[in-house]
Amino acid sequence: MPSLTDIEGIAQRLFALKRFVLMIGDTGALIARLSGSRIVSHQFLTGTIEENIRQAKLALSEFPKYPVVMLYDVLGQTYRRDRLPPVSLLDRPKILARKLDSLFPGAELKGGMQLGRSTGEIRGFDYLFASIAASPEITEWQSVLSQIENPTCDIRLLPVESVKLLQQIMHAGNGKLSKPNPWNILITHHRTGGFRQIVTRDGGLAIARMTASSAAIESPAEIAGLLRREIGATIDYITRLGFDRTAGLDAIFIGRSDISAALKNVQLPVRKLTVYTPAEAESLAGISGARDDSGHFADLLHAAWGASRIVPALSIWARDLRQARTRVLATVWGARALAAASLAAILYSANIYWEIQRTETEYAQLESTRAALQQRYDEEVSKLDSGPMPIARMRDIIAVHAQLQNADIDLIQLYTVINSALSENVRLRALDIEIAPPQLTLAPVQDPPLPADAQIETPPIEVEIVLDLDLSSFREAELAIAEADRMTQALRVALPDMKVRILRQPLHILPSDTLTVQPGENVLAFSGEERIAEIKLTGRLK
Amino acid sequence: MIDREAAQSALFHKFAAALVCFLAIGAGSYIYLMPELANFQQMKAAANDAVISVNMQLNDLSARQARNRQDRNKYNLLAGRGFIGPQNRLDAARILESLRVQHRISSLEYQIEPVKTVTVLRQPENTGETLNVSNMSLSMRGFLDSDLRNFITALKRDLPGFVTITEVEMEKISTPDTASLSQISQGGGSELVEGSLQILWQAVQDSPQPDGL
Repeated sequence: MPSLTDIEGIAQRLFALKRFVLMIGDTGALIARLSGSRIVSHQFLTGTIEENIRQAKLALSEFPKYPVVMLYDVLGQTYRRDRLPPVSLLDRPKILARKLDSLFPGAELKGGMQLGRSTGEIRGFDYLFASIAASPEITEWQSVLSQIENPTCDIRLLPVESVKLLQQIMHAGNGKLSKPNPWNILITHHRTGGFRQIVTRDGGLAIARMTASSAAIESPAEIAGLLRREIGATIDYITRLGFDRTAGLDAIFIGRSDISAALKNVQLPVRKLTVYTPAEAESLAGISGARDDSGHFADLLHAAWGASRIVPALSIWARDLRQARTRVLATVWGARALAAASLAAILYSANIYWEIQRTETEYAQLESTRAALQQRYDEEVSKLDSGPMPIARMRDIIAVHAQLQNADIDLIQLYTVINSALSENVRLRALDIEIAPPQLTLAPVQDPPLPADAQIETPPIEVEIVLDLDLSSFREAELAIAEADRMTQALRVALPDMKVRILRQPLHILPSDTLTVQPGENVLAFSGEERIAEIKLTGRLK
Repeated sequence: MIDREAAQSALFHKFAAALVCFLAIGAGSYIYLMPELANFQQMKAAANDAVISVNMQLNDLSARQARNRQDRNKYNLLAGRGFIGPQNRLDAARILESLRVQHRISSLEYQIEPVKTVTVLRQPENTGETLNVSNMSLSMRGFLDSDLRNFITALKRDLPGFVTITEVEMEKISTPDTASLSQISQGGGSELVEGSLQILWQAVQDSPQPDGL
């Protein structure tokens, strides 16, 4: 997973922010023009302060749109480690401002950086507070910012910003897999000051010291001796902060190669000493153009590192000015983002417009196809009903005929049924059939229309049939009556939907009849009466 | 002096211009283009559905054409059988006489009543077809009951239009005796059965009845 520094490096390369860095030292200044983390041009200002300011203004005026980052590397830096109470994020800036006012009353350049949550019983956040003591030189350099056209980007402290530089070089030189020493020291030779010592503990700033270079000490051996003493004093100081001398201190020196060689000879009181020339260090730090003409000094390395950070470790710029700058940046980047969004919106709108055109064309084609098909359909439909009579009326007539035919009684079949029920000894004397004609109706019009002969069901046909049977071949009345009963039963079986009943028997034996018998008369022997039976069938024949 | 306020004002103007530009493009896209696109897509979908629908109707047409042909044939058949058009009583008289002779009906007496019109209605349109209906009563005498039955069957078949029988009566009027059998053997006639018939003689009017009947 990439670290915050890696992401910041990617962003630097991606955007290649162009800016000036004005690095202020005790014995001079440096102005450099950056493009991302690459130094495009630089100029050391080692004259009087008025001359330095004049030259700085001149250099800045060449690119008045480029913002300026001021990086202080002066002696008058004060650091305090303290705690802020656990307040909400919204209230924290106010509390921080009050804390800074109480710690550094009257100081114009001051700031704080959060180190993490407080350990121990008291809750809160540990902060590193820093300020630069006011001096005439500082005041004059600060006044430059209001006199130039270039916008101010930030004001930072070199030791705080270069803590990450030490880590970067340490990791790049030793490899990320090796277990780092908690205590490290970076010693760099500056043209604008002297020898800068930055001591870190567990990746955070422990102390920073500056040893002024003196014209009286020139030889590498003398310089190495001076640094040996200074580092010894630094170790004495950090021992009070919890440094374990047996664990040792890992040191990196960036400067002249002859001094590096001398340092190796003087046996510095460190566990491990690594030396780099500024050229070697810049490649390890991922910076380019940080070599000055002599190739001896690390000013450009620090300037490029400290000023190219998009997010500073600690800003000592006044809060209101920083907020104003944030607003300006927000406006600029907001305008750029809106312009990009407008471009995207234009492309999106163009895409929609093209889609509309395409859809409209497809719609027109479909509509013309539909119209052609509809015309063909209408022509075919008009042909459907062409003829001497509308097809609907033909269907009505067919339906009427079909109903008549459905209601028609097949008399031949009826005769056959009656004949099959008659026995040889019985003759049909008379036949009377009455058929109720059907009630015809037409079905409602349907779309699509039903087949003509399936439009409507024919209601049941009611029929009444009376059969007169001649039973004169029977001599005994009982047999004749039995024959009439048999035939009735046979008709019931053959015509199950009809009600079959006997209207008259050869003798008056029906419940509605009056049976009269004279003395001596044998009714069962058929005296002189007609031997006739009548059977009536009523109901549905179909 | 540096005119920082003017620079900031210019920055703000740029921002405002970019914002207005973005809003204008966004609004144009959201208010005009997107509804327009949705509208055209809807119209395209509707046109597509209509094309599919007309295609399906065209496919159904062949089936309708086949059914229409079938119904026309049936209609022509009915017209050929005299079910459509006026009733021709002169033709009917000729046919009855011909059938009487053919089926050995010794005596035929008939009466055709005036034509009545019966409207076969369709609900709910209240329109329909008009039937010309004539009541016919026939009385006949013959030798055998099968002659009467065959006469009635032939009458149903041969009379133009459609014949619906409403009443049939057949009765034996005498039993064959020696005298009648002798007469028959000498080539003479003898009426043994008589019958009566009530029928409805029906045909459809060939011009439709006006609506509202």
